[in-house]
Amino acid sequence: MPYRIPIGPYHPALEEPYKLNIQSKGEIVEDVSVEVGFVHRAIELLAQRRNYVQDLVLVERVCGICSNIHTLTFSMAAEQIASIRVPDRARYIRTIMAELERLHSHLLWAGVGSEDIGFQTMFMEIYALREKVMDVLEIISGNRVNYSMNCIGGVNRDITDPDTVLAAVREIRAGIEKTIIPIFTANRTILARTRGVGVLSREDAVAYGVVGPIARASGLAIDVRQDFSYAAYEELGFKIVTQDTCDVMARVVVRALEMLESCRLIEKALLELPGGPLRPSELVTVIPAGEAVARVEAPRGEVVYYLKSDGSDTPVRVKIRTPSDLNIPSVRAMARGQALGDMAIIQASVDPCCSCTDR
Amino acid sequence: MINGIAQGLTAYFVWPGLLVSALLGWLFLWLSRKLVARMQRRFGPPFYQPFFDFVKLLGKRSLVPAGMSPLLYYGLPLAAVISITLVLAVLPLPGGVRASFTGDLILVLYLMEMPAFCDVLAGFASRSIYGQVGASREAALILGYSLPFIASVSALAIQAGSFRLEDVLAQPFSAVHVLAGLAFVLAVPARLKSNPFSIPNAEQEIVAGPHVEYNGPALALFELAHALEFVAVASLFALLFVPRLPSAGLTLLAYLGAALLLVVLTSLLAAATARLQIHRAFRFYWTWGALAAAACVVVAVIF
Amino acid sequence: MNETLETRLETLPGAAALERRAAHELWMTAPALDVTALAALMLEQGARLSTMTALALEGGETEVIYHYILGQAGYHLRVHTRSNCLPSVAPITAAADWIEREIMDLFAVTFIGHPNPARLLRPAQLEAGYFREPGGAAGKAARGQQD
Repeated sequence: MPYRIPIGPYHPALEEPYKLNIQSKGEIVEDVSVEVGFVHRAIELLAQRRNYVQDLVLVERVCGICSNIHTLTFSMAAEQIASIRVPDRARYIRTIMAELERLHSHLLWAGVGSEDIGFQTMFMEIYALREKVMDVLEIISGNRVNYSMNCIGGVNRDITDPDTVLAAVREIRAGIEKTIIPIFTANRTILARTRGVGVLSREDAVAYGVVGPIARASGLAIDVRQDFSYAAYEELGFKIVTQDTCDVMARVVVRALEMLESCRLIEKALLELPGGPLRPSELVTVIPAGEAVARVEAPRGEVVYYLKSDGSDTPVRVKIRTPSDLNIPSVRAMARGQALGDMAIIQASVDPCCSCTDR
Repeated sequence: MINGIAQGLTAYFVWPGLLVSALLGWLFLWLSRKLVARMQRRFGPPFYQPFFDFVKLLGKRSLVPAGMSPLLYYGLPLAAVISITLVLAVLPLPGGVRASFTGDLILVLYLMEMPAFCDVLAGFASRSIYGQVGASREAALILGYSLPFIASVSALAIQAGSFRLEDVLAQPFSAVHVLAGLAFVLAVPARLKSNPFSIPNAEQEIVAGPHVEYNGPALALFELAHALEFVAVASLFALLFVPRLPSAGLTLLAYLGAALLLVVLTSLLAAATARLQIHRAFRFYWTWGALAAAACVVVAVIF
Repeated sequence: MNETLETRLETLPGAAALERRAAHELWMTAPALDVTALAALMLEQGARLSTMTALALEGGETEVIYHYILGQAGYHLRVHTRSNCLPSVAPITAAADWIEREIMDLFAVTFIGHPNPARLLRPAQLEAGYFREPGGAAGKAARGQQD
């Protein structure tokens, strides 16, 4: 029997509004189309009406999960135009924040993914662990969501108590190693729901231009931390994680191993945290005329900012490219021929962020 | 005659029928929710929550979907409640009526499928795409779990040489009971639509499945039928597979123990699994379920 | 770096010289560059389309920068629209589908030959091109804002 099944914009499997139109024959999906734009906020336009200091606050609100990444990329673009050198301690703190954010984002994703395959116990376990990451973020920045850590030229706050953070990160790593990875790789119902499901071939991955864990799960070794190293990744020796089975399981494994790599990077950065200043002595308000492109590896993949300035305190153009812009359309390639019941986990495996897409 | 009618009415409306079973069913549902909650680091609801849910739904206004006859809309959940209560009234539980007749086991088996059939019909009639997908999933699931479920009961009937409950219960406890009991337990999670077989009402995929257009008193009736079905499944399990003890009180306690064991087992399973896809669930029942079914029937025929 | 790709880029129809801005970033300003030839070349090389940036120009025209990434190098190619139109590269590169639709919504650029030129982000009640307002100092002056 042919069905046309709408998932969204409001649906129990989605935390954010977007819409999947599923064309299925019985329980087999024939085609999918995606609609976005339900929460479009025109942040790029607002950014060219505000000054650089205000813009940092604004771009942090592009996404509720990878908020720190947006201020980081914006600052990096501005620093590139103004040729500002970021102090070493600030680079390390930026790395620590970015990796903590990745931990929090990947754990959130794993929880939502478990929920989408009807495994609520796992959801609760993962969210309990994620709560610890949120606590660490709060210890460092005083905030759980929008950390406002970055400013142009450095960071706003210092990590005053590295030992507490280090102990908490070690605890989180133990949780990932002892609970999350074993259950995700051994529970037979999880394996039945993820192995061979939602395959995105390497060719499709290149054509759709997917980035981040989706690309790395399809065998593409692309990661901004490796290809265009920034912050302190070069000193810390970043190691890329890839898988080549191209299915939902591969995306689970990539994210799980990335969490371990994040823990390692945070621990190393905390132990080797250099001294020195955090930011330029004077607040940077005016950026000289010029243009720049900055890239950062957000939890979901590459974030790109294009910034053009005319020498005033207000940017001429701020272009924001979030990873979900490229990743969400690839759901179409993953969905064809799959079971209807798997659509929830397939769309979730992309980690779609509608807030980012509709920036 | 009048005495008989009064007895029948008591059996239907009080014990083991509607009133006591509804209370027991809500208790089982609460226990299951509480156990799962404790295993998931949550507090879980207070014990009267299922009763509150029911009363709240009763107090709401129903919205009958356009194009669906109100008779059908209210009739289906009502039919589910009436038939599952009849099962409970007929079961020869201690203190119930003793009105066993030839073929009453077949009637019980048939009536026990009624809530599921009503679900399927409600889903298809709801004119909602989620309801239709849910209904077709539930229909497939019925085909799956019926195999071990009916085979386990049939094995006992074959052994007794009769489809009369009294005769079946009179049989001494044997190896057939163990095998048939296992087959019965295999079918329980799918019967109760709990994880990993919560496929027809998978909210992340098809919202509420067959019940998606149901609300207010009509939904309350479906929820009540579900609670009663829980008790009916547990009672049938206890009756068939727990040996009767010398006194009625002790037997009742043993039955309650068996029912609680069933609740704990399904809750544990629900907390430890993800939801399967419908084709995998079907394959599970047509391999492991079929094996269990064949084993208990063969043993019943041989002995 | 990839010498042959650089020379091939510089010999595309309408191309100009590449300019190296940083170790891994190459820029080209070529208003009349043939973008379909560019997309075909990049696809053949295995480069991925990272994004496209649109900037409003005077006179209703738009400047579009195609940002490609190949391995550890970024290529940024700046072209101009003619009558605010450009040929679509979406039939060649699947990733361009949404990127071009977004620019259609925000800057009212027409991408000729786009397979599905439907609204993507724009709310139905807004006219396309609502991002075409000046930013920076010019924008402040237009809004009558003081420094």
